Amino acid sequence: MNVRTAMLESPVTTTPEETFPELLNRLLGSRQATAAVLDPEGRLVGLVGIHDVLRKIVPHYVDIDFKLMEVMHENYLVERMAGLKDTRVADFMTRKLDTVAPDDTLIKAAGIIVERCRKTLPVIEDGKFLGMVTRRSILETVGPTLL
Amino acid sequence: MTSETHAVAAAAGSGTYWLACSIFAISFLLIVSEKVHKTKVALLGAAATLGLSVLSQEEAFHSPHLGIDHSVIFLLIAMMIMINIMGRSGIFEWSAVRMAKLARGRPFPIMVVFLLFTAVFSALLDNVTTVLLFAPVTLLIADELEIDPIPFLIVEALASNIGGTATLIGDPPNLMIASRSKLGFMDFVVNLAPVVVVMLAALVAVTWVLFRKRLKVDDKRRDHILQMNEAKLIRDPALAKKSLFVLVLVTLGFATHGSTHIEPATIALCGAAVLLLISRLDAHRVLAEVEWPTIYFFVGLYVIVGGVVKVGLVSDLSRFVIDITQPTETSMFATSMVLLWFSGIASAFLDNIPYVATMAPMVSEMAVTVFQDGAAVSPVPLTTLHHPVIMPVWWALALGSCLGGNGTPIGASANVVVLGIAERSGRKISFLRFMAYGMPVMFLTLVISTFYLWLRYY
Repeated sequence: MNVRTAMLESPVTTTPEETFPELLNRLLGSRQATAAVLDPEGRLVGLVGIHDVLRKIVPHYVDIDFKLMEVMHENYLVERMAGLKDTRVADFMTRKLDTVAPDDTLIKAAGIIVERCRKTLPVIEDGKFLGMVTRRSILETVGPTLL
Repeated sequence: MTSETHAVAAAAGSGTYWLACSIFAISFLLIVSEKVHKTKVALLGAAATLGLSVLSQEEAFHSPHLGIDHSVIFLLIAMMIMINIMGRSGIFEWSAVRMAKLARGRPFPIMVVFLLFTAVFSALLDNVTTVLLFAPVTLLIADELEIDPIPFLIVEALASNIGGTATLIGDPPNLMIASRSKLGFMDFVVNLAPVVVVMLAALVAVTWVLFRKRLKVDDKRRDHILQMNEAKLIRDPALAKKSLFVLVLVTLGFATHGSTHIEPATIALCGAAVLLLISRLDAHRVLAEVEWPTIYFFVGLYVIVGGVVKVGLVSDLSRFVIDITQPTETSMFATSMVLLWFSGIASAFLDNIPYVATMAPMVSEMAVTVFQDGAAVSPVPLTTLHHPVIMPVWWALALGSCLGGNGTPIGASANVVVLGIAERSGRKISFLRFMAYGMPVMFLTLVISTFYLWLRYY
């Protein structure tokens, strides 16, 4: 089995210039948690997902002391979210990526996802973005053999 | 000059002399360069000192004059154990939020109470852990008030270094000075705490001038602080009570050790052992959190400095300072002033731990030269180490080396920690931004120290 068999061919895509509310609207309307960020030539420049949004609204010092979050005011998250109104995808997309090729084995993609704690891997061939392989798409491909 | 140093001073200029000096110089340069971790450098320097027979193993491990100062090492370990256990209770975070509420959520009063609280805890515990425990809750408060946390963090680092100057256990230079000079906890409190109080008042005045106008928030933000339920921050109420109980006992032990004659390291070890037992925490977990790299840094340094004390370099340095400052048996004013300012400026750019590790024995040598005509007696009698004329020199060394740390981000470990936390939280403090606050405060406190030493001792 190769990556092509589990690849989502029409994943959610965005551009670095798209505003955050526009992207959020489309992500929440899809079943996907991550969007591929493409430049005007259709080349992959990054990924942006629900986790990046949460990372943006959860303060960084939480990793020092989780207990501190218990005394924050009730609307903290809502206010932080409102602060993202004018931000763009480029402000919080991830630029360091792991990618796979369509002919790579599916076990290689699954291995990268597990070992590097990725949720989504972009599929690239000759520098061109083809689609995404996700944890769910892998299981949807492999899972039926068990059922 | 002691018998041990006397025996080898004859070897000055010999191969061993230059070997010890080279190990010392190379280690010092490598520590300053920060190319290799300072603990690795110190341990390698110590290994070379022993391996090349500059110092025998017996001298390094057991000589009170040349070897590892076990009282400093065990005092540090014990304090680290206690503060580690205490930190797990959530008492620091609880206190910080409580104080912010007492300040009615107003930013400038919060800054002042945090400044004073950091200073007091830094005097009783170590500076690094104090700022390490305070910084996250400071970020939370600033976040809730929607104000820049950087001034708060910088002021806390500065207050921590000033507060730590007040006591024997407050800052590592004082620990090393105390051990070498045989001065007690109350000697430090009586001689340094008054000037530290003046400096803290000056720091409050500086922060008032710099920040009072910038720190304005609306009532809604203040309400966020006033509505915080700090009780949620106490992770373990029983542990908080036990920790405070032991800390009070240990502080009382330090304060009375002049009359009980129980050494500070013994008191701290008793406190650590009792707290470890009654906390019921896993010993492996608590001991794993001791800052072993710092402990081994001290171990390595003591051996390296023991080498240069043995071959006479420190005596040479002492003679050099004596030649420049011309101390007499009745006054060492110039020596105090030179040492205060030189230590201050040097400690802003160098690690003050190796600096004091070298300078404390040097002051001891100076006392021997001035008051005993260099006559070899080991150990150096207390009448010499505590001679009223040498006392201000010890205080000048303590003030200079502790306060100099405020000058730059690398001057003190507390500064490094604060910068690290700020960067992790996405609020990088540049070298120059820290210096813009640190340098003026360093000079201000050194000027206050100059007047204090002059008025009180001369």
